[in-house]
Amino acid sequence: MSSSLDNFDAGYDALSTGVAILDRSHMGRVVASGGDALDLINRFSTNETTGLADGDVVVTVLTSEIGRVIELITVVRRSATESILLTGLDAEDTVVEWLDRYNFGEDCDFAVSTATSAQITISGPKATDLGINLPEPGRDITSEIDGVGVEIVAISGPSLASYEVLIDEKSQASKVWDGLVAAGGVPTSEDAFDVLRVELGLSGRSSEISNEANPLEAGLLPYVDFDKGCYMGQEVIARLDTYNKLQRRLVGLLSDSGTALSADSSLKAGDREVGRITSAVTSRSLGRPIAMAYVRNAHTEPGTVLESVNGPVEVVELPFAAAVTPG
Amino acid sequence: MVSTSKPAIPANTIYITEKAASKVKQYAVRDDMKTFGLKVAVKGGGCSGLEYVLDIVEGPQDDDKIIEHHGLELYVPKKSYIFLAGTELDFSDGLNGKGFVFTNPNATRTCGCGDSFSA
Repeated sequence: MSSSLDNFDAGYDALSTGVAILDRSHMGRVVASGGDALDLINRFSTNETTGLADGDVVVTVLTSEIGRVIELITVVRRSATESILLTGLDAEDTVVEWLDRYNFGEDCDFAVSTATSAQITISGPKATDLGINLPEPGRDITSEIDGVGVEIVAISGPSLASYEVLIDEKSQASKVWDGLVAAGGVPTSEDAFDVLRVELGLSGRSSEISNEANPLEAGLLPYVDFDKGCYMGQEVIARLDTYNKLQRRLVGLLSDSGTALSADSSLKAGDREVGRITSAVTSRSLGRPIAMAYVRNAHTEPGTVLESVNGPVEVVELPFAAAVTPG
Repeated sequence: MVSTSKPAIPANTIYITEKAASKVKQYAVRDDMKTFGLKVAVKGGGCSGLEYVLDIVEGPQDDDKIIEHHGLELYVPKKSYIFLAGTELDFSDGLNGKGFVFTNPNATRTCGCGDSFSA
């Protein structure tokens, strides 16, 4: 499959105003089988995964006993005894090991299917222009693209809304890709996807969503069910929410000098470290370097100037589009 | 001199107090069970990752470890036993009682309700 990585602008435009496609076969996929699989996941993640109907899709967060993110997963229920779990890059083994560790003879099995299957992301406001049958948000349907049977999953967040096309046999993926291109899908890149995501202030896997963050500060509140009862980490997360105990939050940063900013670098107020940059890109719509960062609450007032390793940066509210008028 | 301190539970067993064993027998008689034992196990869940499981059953499963105290057999699945060795199971009654109470030396963290732990 070609993904035209050299055409950033066309990919960005398609993502923001048209319909883009992106090969995401490298992202993790796990087949969860057995009648107890969703119940086990429910006991270890923030959102309700029991009581789903066939074809329901739920985004949930596996958390540790101290309420930190283990992994964000999308649960797609195929039937009462089979679901597919979509994970981030290289996270599928972690998910399987985590769930297996707590499986004491229950009726469930978790098998990584990343290497044998494929996944193509469709994203952009004109996805319906492709002329293929698309599911409602939070649903999964079976469909056919260029004669190949596929599964299409509608995911509304936490990153850009997308339809994930799942292809059971990897060898069929190029045919599906070609069919989507022929239908008007514009190949895009992870870079273009990331720039638009940061402009919109949406959390990304392996950046804002990491095992150093809890789901509330990582912008994953929509995927936390406060009424579902116990799950690992629930006590900590409930306490953070009830007593408003979050010590830091996500903010946007603008480079005052126009110098590119560095992801995974520190932010200081005077000599004191008060935050860390999690994503850094050059915004296409704003024409300048921007970043997302976790910053301690006392330093999150818009207009606050902090010192980055690349020079001074100004704190702004997310998303950037609401904070800055393109000049 | 008679020592009043509580004896330590050996690390190679699971102990049930006479009071807790008696309570289990009461429940079994109430349910008209002729032969029974107490399944003591853990499963994944709760705020801290592992939850205790208690169930009055007719007999052991093939791979269960069988332990007897106060005329009551405890059936412990092997995978659970790793997390339960050295545990004492007691019963706390009364209006403010907690019911069956586990004291588990393997628990590195216990959640507020006392039903869930990490090991």
